[in-house]
Amino acid sequence: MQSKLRQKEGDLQLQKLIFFHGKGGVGKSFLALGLARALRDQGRSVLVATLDEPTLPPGDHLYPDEIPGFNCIPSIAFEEYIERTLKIPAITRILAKNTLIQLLAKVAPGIKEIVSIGKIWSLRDEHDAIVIDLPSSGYGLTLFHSVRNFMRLFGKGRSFEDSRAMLETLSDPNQVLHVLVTLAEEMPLVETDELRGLLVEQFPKANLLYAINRLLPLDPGPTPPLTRDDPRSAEAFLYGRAVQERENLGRFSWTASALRFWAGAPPAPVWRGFLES
Amino acid sequence: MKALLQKKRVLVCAGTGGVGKTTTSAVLALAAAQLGRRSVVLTVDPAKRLSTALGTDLSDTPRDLTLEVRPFLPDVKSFSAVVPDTHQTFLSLVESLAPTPALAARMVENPIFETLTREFSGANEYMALHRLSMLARDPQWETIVLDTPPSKNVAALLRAPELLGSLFEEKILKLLGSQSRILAAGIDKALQLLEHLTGAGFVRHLHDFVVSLNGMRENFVTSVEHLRHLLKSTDIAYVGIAAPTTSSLAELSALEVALREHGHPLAGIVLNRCMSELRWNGPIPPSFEPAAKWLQELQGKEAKLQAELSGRILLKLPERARDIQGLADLCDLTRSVGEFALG
Repeated sequence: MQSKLRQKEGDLQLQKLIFFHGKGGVGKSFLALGLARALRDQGRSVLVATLDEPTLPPGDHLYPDEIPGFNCIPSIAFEEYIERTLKIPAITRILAKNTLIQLLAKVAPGIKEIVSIGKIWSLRDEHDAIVIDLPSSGYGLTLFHSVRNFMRLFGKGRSFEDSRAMLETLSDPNQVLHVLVTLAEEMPLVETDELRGLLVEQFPKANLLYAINRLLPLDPGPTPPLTRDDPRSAEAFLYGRAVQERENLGRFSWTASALRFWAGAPPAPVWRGFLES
Repeated sequence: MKALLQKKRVLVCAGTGGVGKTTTSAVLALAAAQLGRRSVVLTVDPAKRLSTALGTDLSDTPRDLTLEVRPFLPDVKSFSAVVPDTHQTFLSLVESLAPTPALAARMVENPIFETLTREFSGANEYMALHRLSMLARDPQWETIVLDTPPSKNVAALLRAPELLGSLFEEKILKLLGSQSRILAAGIDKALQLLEHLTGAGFVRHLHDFVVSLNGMRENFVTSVEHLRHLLKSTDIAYVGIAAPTTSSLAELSALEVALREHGHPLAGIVLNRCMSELRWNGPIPPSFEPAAKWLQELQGKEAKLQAELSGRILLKLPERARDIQGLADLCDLTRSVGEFALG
């Protein structure tokens, strides 16, 4: 059975790279793994990649449910990159490893991200899809922001060409899907909105999918409960929370088309429904 | 908790994303102010609304909110807030460290400086600490609460001064910064590679950056020393923030281990976003059932966390149905601090 991931232009195709963006604590990894499982259940081979995630082992590993994972370590990817692109004799290579890498890793933000994404991209032929569980976005900065800065800093060197080629791939909506994960709380919503702005600015044709996680499974009616003034009333609390969530979501137009994941419910049915639509 | 607020001058709030560090930091500062201390909270990652309530002051000076707070908390002696901008703070740091205005300007115009201060993952952390250090040097503040940037590894925050300090010690930087055009053959080769990889412009900027950096070395090292001393003093307490909605015991333990390894044992834990006090007054309406089930799960998580952490919880703060939207809400939450027994 042919199935597809939703596209802006509406054609049937499975994106190769699926990036999961989001603030810390929104459940990005949970949803990324959920999508990986759903894809695997459809008979596709999937890899879940992370960038230097401290709680995971380096390199190849297995998630629960035997989902293959790859935790990219930037310094290793960088060494591989230098060897591959510079083609330099052994002695100089050793020198380059020690001084260059340390130096560049410290003063040039963006290098780690570029070589990591480049490394993950080089694995694309081994899987039908690669789900990339990105590090938590802290200040609305994206990985890709770093890539642009990198290019700005590095002018005409070899790395510029490589990063430009990568950016072209990342800009192709047929090859890349961005999933922005948020909660129905103010801070994650505001940050997702900013992230969205940054992504659209850098990749105007980008394929964006919004996922609202841990939504309270309650549709508040128009009438608040009688216990609304009791600060310890569970009913009043849940009602108030549901109203607040709807108010928060209403502030952003992009939430209307977002995937909704309910608190306490497994993500699989939602992902399945999305993949089959 | 009361003892902590009365005895320690600096409180550092640490925790993973989504636990409510910013809110809790502000509440602790308000609680200290209620106890008669001139307090200031330094928030790093506020929501836009909270930031508006506290005052986004890009000139990096604390904004006195005592009068705004007194209608809600009459006992408050003095309460202020600082919401610094990282890049601005870096600029003022450079100005204070550079021996001449010309050198400061040269550094600030360098594109590496520009990128480094906006993107370098240690930059935000270091600037938060720098702001803390500046506040600590001002005797008017009796309590300073630092809301740390969201970071899975708070030890990285505390290591930031050392990391940046070690940047100065990198031999290659010393050599790169050398005014002499005669470089060792090995470094020359490395520079060739660097140029091939990055283009000659970058190497020139790097050289320039390093020369400027070297000019500030002495002053910078002094400021790093001051920070290190401050972070290890007995006047500082590290408070872990956790919440049943997002935190697990494993994350808290990891936080604690990381802190202890750097000589900063946790003074205690604040359990935020608690829901154990919520109960049903009658039968659960059918439409509420799925939500009630979720609430029950969270209450279970909270009970488990509380049991595991038992005597180390300093304070429990309740989850609110509505978001914190300003000072009134923050003060309201601070009032509940008394309810949950400031032990």
